[in-house]
Amino acid sequence: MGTPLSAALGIDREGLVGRFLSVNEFHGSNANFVIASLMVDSLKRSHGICLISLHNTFGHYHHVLTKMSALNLCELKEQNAQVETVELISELREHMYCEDECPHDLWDKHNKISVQQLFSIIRDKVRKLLVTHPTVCVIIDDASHFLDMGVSLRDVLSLLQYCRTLLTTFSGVSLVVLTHVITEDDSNLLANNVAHVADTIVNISVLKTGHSSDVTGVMEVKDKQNNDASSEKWNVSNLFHFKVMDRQVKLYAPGTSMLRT
Amino acid sequence: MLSSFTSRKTHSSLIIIEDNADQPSSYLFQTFIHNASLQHLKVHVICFENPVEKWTRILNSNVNIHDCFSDHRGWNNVNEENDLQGVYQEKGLLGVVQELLNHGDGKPSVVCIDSLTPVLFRHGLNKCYRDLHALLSIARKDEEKLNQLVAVIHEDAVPERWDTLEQMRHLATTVFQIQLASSPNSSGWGLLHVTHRKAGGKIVKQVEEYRIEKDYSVLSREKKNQQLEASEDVDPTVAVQNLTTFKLTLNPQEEEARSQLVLPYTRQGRPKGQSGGGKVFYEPDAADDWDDEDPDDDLDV
Repeated sequence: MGTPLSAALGIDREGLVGRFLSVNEFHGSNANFVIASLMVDSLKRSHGICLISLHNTFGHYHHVLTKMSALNLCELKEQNAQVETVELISELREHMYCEDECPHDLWDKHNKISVQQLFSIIRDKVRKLLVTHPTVCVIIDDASHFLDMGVSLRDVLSLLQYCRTLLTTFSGVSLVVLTHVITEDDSNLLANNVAHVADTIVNISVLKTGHSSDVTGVMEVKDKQNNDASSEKWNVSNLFHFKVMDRQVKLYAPGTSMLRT
Repeated sequence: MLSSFTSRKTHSSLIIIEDNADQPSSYLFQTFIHNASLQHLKVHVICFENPVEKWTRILNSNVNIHDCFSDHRGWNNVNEENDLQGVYQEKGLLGVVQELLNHGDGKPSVVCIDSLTPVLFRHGLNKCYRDLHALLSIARKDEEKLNQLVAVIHEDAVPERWDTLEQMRHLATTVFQIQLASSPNSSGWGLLHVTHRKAGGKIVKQVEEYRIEKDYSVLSREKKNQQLEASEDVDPTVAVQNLTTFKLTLNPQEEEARSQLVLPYTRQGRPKGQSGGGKVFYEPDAADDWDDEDPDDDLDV
């Protein structure tokens, strides 16, 4: 069971349960396929998903998952109650055009997102999912947009720290955070802070030497989960080339993409 | 030097370990905690960055692990059993450590902070610096109360990076900057820079290679500039010949024959009348139309 990506991340047997996975999308690349693959993997294992989307609408994920795996995300959300979403793009649009009090009090008196209230919403959705599903995956796509919305780096880090507490408060919860990284920016600080505490780090970047029709980009996976003296996997880094196609993603060892086509 | 600090033969009131995401310091930090716990000291680990569960399964049971991670901003409003987080929200790092020292049992305390980075983001550099300075003063005045502070700082994840790191390095009595991390399962030696401020004011700087064993013992040695030393004189021709099955060397007869070989189109010695310098020697073939006349003679210039 599992996508090729889940095998590369080492989660093909047990899934993401109890782990914190950080996805760093370096400027110029697109790591959305990682989120989509993880969603497919979780849904096929009957895990619940709590999706906090800041970069794409829910419809985007629905279309992508339909192409990749024939999963109907709308049906899973409305009928099976397997998916809960917090669409901050829609919330922002409603807030901008809302003249009276908005239904969600996500905004504070300074018209900025209240991360405390957002965490409260996430926690409630996780609790709701855990009633029907023993394992839940919380996905934040993408955390750097909090900075674009005017949330301070300190508050974003506090939000992520509280989201990490869900892994210990509830059994069976995992966390995936995607960060878009631009060097010499607060997003770089955000990614570095997350990298220090994540169990697994996935770095997605473009080829340094240019474009290729055979390879879309480079994926580096670093597993830090086993942090005790007997582990052989501590801080080990694996490098892959990947090619994103319409309905699938292929992974290769560096230099072998031509051999497999 | 590192091994003398981890074994506590050399005392340092405030030790700061600088690492980055690629070269984490977790094993070195665990080593300090483990070795302190083996001595007659009360060891406190304050968790600002990681949950308590991470440390409880790794460390000895006699290490006191304190939670300042799970509710550092008071959002959960559930802190009846854990007043320490409430103290942290109001008074910062200094308040937390003073609270621990006030409930001591007479043993000297060693306080280990899993990361200063969340503290810097939460309370700012000024407050964090003042708190550390106050704690350092306590440690210097009364070692029986606060024997040592060990703190980790992520050099790639702190706000106002250069100011923060310079201030922390200035404050600490010992700074370990990790260049290459070592773990019990890594095959090679790690590398770090040590800066130690002695009691008399003298500053010692050293680059060291270090290795942490599975029992948390530390091997360290000063890194020399000359990495390789010739262990014995080895005949280079023999060494090269051993690398391949092809015959790469020449016997004496072949060497003499090669030295006597005259290569074509090279001139042996100089013609008479020529003193040297750059000359072009042209020997025309039978088919060449050689004309000694200057082709520009007919120009009226």
